[in-house]
Amino acid sequence: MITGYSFRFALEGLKKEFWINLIASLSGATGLFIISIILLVFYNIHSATKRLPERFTVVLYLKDNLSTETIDTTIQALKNNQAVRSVRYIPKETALLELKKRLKDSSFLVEGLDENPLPDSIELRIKPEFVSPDKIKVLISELRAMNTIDEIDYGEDVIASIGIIKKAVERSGIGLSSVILIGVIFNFYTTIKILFYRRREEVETFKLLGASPGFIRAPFLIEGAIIGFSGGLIASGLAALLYQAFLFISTRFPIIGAFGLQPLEIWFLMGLPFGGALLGMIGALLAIGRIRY
Amino acid sequence: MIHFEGVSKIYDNQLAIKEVTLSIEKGELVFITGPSGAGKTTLLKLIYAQERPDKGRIVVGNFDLSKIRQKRIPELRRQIGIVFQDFRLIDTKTAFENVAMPLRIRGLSDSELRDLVYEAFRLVNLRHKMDAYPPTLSGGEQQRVAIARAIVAEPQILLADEPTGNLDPENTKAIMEIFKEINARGTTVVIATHNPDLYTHSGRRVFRLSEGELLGVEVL
Repeated sequence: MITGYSFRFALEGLKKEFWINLIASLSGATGLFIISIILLVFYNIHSATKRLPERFTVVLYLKDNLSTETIDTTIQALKNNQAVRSVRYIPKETALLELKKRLKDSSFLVEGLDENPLPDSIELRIKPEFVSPDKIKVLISELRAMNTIDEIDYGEDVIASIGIIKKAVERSGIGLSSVILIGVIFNFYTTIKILFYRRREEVETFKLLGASPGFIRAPFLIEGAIIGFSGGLIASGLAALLYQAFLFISTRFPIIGAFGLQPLEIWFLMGLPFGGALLGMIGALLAIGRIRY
Repeated sequence: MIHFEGVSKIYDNQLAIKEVTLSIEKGELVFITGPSGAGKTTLLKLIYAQERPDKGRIVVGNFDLSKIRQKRIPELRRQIGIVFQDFRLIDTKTAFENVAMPLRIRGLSDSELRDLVYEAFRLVNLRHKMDAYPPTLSGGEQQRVAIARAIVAEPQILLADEPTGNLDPENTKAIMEIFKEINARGTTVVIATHNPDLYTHSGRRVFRLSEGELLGVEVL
């Protein structure tokens, strides 16, 4: 039961115990700021690993002496595969030209060849959602089953690494954030516990006058929410400042900007105070516990 | 309205209330008397469920306190006004806010409760002290604030634990008049006191307690 009086009571409490509340708010802000940094790192690694699949290609080397019709049928079959984003046929002549271009000054190495040693090939670009170790394995086994394909070249190690990095980042990010989150809740818990304890005489009187648990809890929940909200607001401000500092540094040192680091999304920065408020309320709920008469 | 059937209460292996059986009817004004430690305060605490009986049955209005669940206790207490022996006023709130508290607990807004609080202060003749904080009030004034808080929500039952303990004879008489007026409006009033001046020639029932035992009931 939250009434206007609950708000007034909460604000009185915040004013009366200003220093305790300020410290709680600042330590909450520190925790939330650290979580922001962890999420920033997590978000960037996640974005980086997300961009890698877009560049991921599979090269299929075709068997020698296939007819144009057979090659067309193969290309069509590949286009129909749901995991394939695009198909590019590279005749052996084009492949040789590309190789020469790539070799530049060392192109003389292939100049003297009587015969083009390169096979016809097909370069496949894969849809990002299919670039995972398991899904790629399925695709490769499908491709191997095609009798026009001689050899398949794909970044098996890259795929495995992406999976490992993703999992490691996810797990460590969630683990670390959870630990700090619990710390932040504990911080709000102890603060509200102190506030509740300091006002226990009032609370006892309220109980004797017939106050419901909701009436007793409401001001403390509001206090927890306000402390958490202000902590979140400070953390959000610090995270925004950090981003500005990063922007400033990256203009001075372009090498840093070249990594293409992403800032935290605006919705996250705006949501941080509300997240703080929620954590404050959880801390308050745990601190008050069950009201016994 | 209030029924005790063979009620006992034990504190630290000592019987504070022994097999008490009594009935107080709706609209009555009664006194509970006895020397200090007789069990008067414990008996009142049992009525508003601050203490639970170890034996026996207590019924207050529609509530059977032997079976009452925790979540229904606030509902019971909202039907009872209590004048505590130690007043239990909140020092950090003005007299007005203290008196308004039972109404806020019932969910009344500022505008809804204002007139009711003024009326309670008028009844205890303390309107000029509404904005004062309890520590700045005399014992008698604090007692009257406590009474105003107990009556402001027009409870069905009013319990008063030594309500004139800090008052001079003149104020004692005035407070008793207030209780009579509240009782005349239909509220059941139970006054615990060791002051015989309050109940002598009152024409009301007096329950006499000694060492937790109900010695008898008489009309004085």
